[in-house]
Amino acid sequence: MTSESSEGKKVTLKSCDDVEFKVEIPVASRSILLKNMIEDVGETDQSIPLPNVNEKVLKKVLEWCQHHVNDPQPTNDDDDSRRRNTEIDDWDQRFLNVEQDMLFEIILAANYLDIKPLLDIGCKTVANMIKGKSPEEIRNTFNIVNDFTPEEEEQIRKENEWAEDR
Amino acid sequence: MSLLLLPNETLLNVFLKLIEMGGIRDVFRVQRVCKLWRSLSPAAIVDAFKEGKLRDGWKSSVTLQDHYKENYSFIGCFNIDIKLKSYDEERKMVQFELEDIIIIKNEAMKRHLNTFMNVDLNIFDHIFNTGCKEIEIILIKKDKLRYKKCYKNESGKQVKVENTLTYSQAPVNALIKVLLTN
Repeated sequence: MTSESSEGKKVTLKSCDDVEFKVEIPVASRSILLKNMIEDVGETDQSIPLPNVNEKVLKKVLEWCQHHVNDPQPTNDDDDSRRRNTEIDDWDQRFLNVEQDMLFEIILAANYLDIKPLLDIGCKTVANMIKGKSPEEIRNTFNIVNDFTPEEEEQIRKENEWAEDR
Repeated sequence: MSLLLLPNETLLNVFLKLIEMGGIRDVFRVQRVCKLWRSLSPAAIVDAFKEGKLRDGWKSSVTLQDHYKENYSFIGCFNIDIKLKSYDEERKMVQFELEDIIIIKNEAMKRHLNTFMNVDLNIFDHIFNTGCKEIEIILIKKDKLRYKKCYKNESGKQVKVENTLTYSQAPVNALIKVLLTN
């Protein structure tokens, strides 16, 4: 099974479930991991296996890379300014308006593939889902089990009471 | 796929974003979600301090220190640069480091500062204890902290204005390490 994404010089990426994607090198190079691999290996007909990313997620990540293909490559100097920007642009917001499972998979893939801007907006999206919620609401939102005893929870609440003061 | 399966480093990144977007209170709140989040969130708080990303109440705390800085700057006796050093999980204290403090050992100046600041933090006694190279100062929480702001009016005359800072907006138990330079 092969999925063509665009024209030009291409590289073949292979998801963990053996689906191949032929993508333009500039698109693949949004991933620092892939960029380095392509630079190291040079042009090759062999596909690059991505054992940590399945077809569904890889397709989604490549969609993001395609949309942002002309963005300047982030540098270490950009890290701070990007992190300080709390806004998520409209396209990215729509792009990440997915089921939680997919959102976390995209974040994991962005982390693995070293796509910092995508990782960044993924983390911002999760932070937005946490913002202003009570611990109970957060647990419900993310299906997290409360592993505190009531006594422990009360203790933490008291410790942090001052931080809740307005 | 669960949020808890994300690497700790990524969760920390989420908490840091939370501080930037919402404020540090949200990160204190997430400490009550589960044990993992409780263990991770202090690191995000420390990072936020280090990277100057504090907002709301915690920023007020830094602002409080900035008032000192402002007043000291006005008096011209020393300069304070506050840096967060660490977060003591066990004691629930944030440890700062004050660097580059040049103190004029002058009793009159000390009295002037005490009068001028009109605060009850016992901070100056520690600062002027010049026999020490390092001092720990614990800020005790008070409901209201009064401070005075001093500036020059148009005719160049110094004018004092008394303000009331709601100290409940500021963190308590801030453990400050002071390095003194003689």
